[in-house]
Amino acid sequence: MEKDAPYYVDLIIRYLAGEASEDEIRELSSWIKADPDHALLFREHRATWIALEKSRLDESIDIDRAWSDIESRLISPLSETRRNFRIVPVHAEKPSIRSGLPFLLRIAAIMVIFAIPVYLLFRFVVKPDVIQLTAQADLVESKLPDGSSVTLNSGSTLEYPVAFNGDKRQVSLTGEAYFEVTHDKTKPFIISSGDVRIKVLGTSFYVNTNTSGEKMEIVLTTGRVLISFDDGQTESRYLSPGEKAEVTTSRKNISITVNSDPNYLAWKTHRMVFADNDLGQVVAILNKTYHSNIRVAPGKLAQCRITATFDKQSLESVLRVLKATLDIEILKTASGIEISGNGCE
Amino acid sequence: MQLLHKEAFEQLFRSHYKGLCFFAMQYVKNDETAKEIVQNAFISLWEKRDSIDLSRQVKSYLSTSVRNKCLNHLRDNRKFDNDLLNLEQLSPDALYEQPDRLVEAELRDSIHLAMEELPEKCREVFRLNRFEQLKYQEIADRLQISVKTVETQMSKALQHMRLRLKEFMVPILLLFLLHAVALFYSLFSTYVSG
Repeated sequence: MEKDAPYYVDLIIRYLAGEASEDEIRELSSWIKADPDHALLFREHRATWIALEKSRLDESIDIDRAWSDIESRLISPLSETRRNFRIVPVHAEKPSIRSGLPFLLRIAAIMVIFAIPVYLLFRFVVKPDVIQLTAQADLVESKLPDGSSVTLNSGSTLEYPVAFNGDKRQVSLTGEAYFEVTHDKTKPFIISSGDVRIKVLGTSFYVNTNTSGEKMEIVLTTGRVLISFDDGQTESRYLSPGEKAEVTTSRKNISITVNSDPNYLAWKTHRMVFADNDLGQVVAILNKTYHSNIRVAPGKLAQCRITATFDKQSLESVLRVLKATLDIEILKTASGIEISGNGCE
Repeated sequence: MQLLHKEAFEQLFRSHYKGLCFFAMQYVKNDETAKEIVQNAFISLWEKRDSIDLSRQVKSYLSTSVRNKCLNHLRDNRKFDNDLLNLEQLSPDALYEQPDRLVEAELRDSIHLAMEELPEKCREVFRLNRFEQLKYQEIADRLQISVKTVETQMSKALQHMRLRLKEFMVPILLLFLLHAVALFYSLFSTYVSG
């Protein structure tokens, strides 16, 4: 008995919606096999259905809820999280996470989590209420309880509470980090390092507590921050976008200048801008960005000037450009890379 | 051999849970079942953690595990048809990778807009089936209409969505066209030789 097209369209949809019975599934299957047009019609409807389901599922899944559901079903007790874990990095076949990740600027419900590979490069220590996030060999990007995001450079540690209760959001930083802080007028976001307090007023900025000679550097990208000392006496200073604050902890001094270094975020963005910088400076920034050990042979070579922009290129690629620009030799040794030659003479 | 610690496991879960749920959903066509299956797959992984070598592809292990559980579920519920599943081209590698957030957002908006355009009853039927995951009979009961009406409304809704979401679908259709041709050819040769 010939049935008309609408019957089969209904049948396709019943199947996709999971409503089709055993017999109907068989019927659909033979109908599809009978004619390639039928197969095509099936696929078209399926494609639409898949797009709808994908979108719906995307909206409906709460990954934190799902994780806590499954966590309670794991055999190991929760107390395991209270121990010190050290995850050993494995040599990956795939390239580093950094090169693929797009910039995360949505400060809403989207979860910010590390990418796919199995190896982990951070240590996660849970004391009763405090979380310690540490970046070892690779950058670590994480989300804080209020939705703010932080990117830690290697060797940096951030301590923060499991939840921001109380009247402020306080975290403690050792090292270098880039923050994107969500707005919350009722709860200021405060970063502490030693006795310096950086109060954030809804913003994105960079902090470096590491610079030599007991200095701390803060560069502001957007928003506003207030820098102060813990003593309640020393005058606090505001920082505006594009400005850099250098804080000398020993002398309790805050010095504010316009940030002239376009490469302060190169470690995170892999974007470097050189405008008539000398090779010595360029190499210093390359070392910082790529964690390489490049040395320039002593002499006039280090004073050769470079003007170039590198955006998310590999170190190899950058070195090739340098080689094409200057008359240099690049030698790779066990301990690093050596640049020698006439340079610009 | 690197073993699986809880933090690594959590990262795996957070990276793959959604993609695997979507993958499972294509087989079992039901949210709750899909989530249950994926959770079970992760739990099996956790239980075997001392013997799993992480230098292998854990992702494939998980997707294969999910796929097998889905097929078992379909067989147990007698909803299994080999030909149809082949037609759906469900391969364990077809996972939801790093989604393009911009496209996802656009798609979501287009879907919401398209739904607004549906006549009220049609939209309600579609919404109940899709968002509240109600079966046709349950929708019929709730809205006091016949199952046949529910079917017709679903059909109408999907046709409309198909039109509206066409721009998101073009590359998929092209691929399907090729598959359809290949399928026809293989079926034809089966008929001829069989």
